[in-house]
Amino acid sequence: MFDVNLIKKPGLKTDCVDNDIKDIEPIQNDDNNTNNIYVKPVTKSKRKRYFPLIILILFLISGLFYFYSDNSIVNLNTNKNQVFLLDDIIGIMNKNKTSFTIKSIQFNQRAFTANLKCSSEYSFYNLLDYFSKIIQYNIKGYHVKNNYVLDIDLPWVVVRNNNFNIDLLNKELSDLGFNLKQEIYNNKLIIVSNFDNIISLIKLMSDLDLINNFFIDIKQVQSLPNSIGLYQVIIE
Amino acid sequence: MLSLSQTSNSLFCIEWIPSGTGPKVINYKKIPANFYRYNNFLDAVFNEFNVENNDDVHKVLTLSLNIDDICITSFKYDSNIALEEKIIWYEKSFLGKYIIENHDVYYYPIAGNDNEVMVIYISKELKNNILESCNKYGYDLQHLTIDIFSANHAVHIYNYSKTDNYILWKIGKGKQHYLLYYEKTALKHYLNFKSGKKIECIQSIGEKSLRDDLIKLVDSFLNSDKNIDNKFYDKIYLYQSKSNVQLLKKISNKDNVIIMDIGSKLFNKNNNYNLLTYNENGNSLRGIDV
Repeated sequence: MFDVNLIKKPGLKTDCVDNDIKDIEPIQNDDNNTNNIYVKPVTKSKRKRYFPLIILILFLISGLFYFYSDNSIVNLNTNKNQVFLLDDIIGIMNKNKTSFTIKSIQFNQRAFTANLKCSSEYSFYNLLDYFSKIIQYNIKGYHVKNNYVLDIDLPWVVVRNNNFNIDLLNKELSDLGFNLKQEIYNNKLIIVSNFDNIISLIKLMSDLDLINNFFIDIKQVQSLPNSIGLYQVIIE
Repeated sequence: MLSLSQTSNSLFCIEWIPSGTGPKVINYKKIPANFYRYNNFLDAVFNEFNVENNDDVHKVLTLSLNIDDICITSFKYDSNIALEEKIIWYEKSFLGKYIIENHDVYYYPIAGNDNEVMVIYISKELKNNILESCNKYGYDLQHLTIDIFSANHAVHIYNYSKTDNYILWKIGKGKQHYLLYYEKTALKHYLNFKSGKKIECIQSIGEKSLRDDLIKLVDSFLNSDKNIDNKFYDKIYLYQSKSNVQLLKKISNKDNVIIMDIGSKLFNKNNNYNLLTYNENGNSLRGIDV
């Protein structure tokens, strides 16, 4: 019988027809005084079990080879060369700051990613509309249960400029009087602040042409209720 | 053996033990599902449901989730391209990072000519909550499935033959209906529709021609007394998760329709249609002769 069992390992289930009626045999309990019968599936021979596994491994290896040799086929609807202005993205976020909370924003060697949780269906579609006008297919929207999530993935590179390090950035931010809670730990600048200050920080780094100089990781502070809206920024 | 199934805001609990004459039900009860995303759900179960065989060394549990707790979708593929490759592409380009990172995704190829794959994904958080609660009470979660797919494991107790082509029909709340169509043991179609003067198809997975046949069939059952010419099934197994039995009785008057009267099979209560939702505890009866 066709069997949907979500305890099994995820993935392709070509063996989803479970011949449970045919393959199950009752095994008597050692205790003959009871009628208890444990029902145990008949185990198939090891050779039969491993054969599909070997085929799958071979297939996965060839699949991975194919995947890495021609990556452009896989990424049909995301544009790795999408041109955009960071100011536009930040501008949309700033104008609609009451419509979402930031789950994470990252600037790393490969991409600029943002994961935003929208407050309602209305704001979800509005934001999706605004963003897709400028970054087209590099935004995805998910509506799962009552969660409305937007996922931005844009090409990005970090180019280190040795003349401007974390210490200088720390000093610069202090001098400009941003009034951020900031400290340097393990050569990383850690900042905790609210949405407005985070946006101002990104704008400032962009204006000073420093945004590509650092890895930046922004996450909502999980230990506090969402309503407090504090974010932790790690710059390194 | 503890069997649980959730429908809407209720949890249907059965405790049974195997016996020489089939499963012997010790206790059964419908309780409110007073938990959020299955967080510590067994606390709520044991507050309301008295498990008599609690000292059993081998504690086994089966669970059937509400269909709203998971996502069902589908995609079609070209038979000239390996399905595994299509899945890699589908995960990357359609499902995306958020779904892949936060959900366990299962792919079930549907039998037929349309090369369609049913995709079911479940939140990892929800699944972990279930497993953690089971671990807390020492239960081995043997089977975890969904709604009508669980009821399908119960059809074999109603005069079922492995060579049958059959329809499993669930009458849900709010005019929602769910249908599974099997040719022998192979799933060929999943249909979710809303009844009314016109049948409104909400979701269909499987061959398009079968969808049309199924919609014609349900339309003839619900909206007219005409019989359809193309009889592509041997039996219809019918159950419901609502209390009003008017529609159930109307459909059961047709030929080859079998009401899944689980009350008479498990609880010795004949024609008690209030118990029909317990069919969704069917995954507990997989392969058991009742």
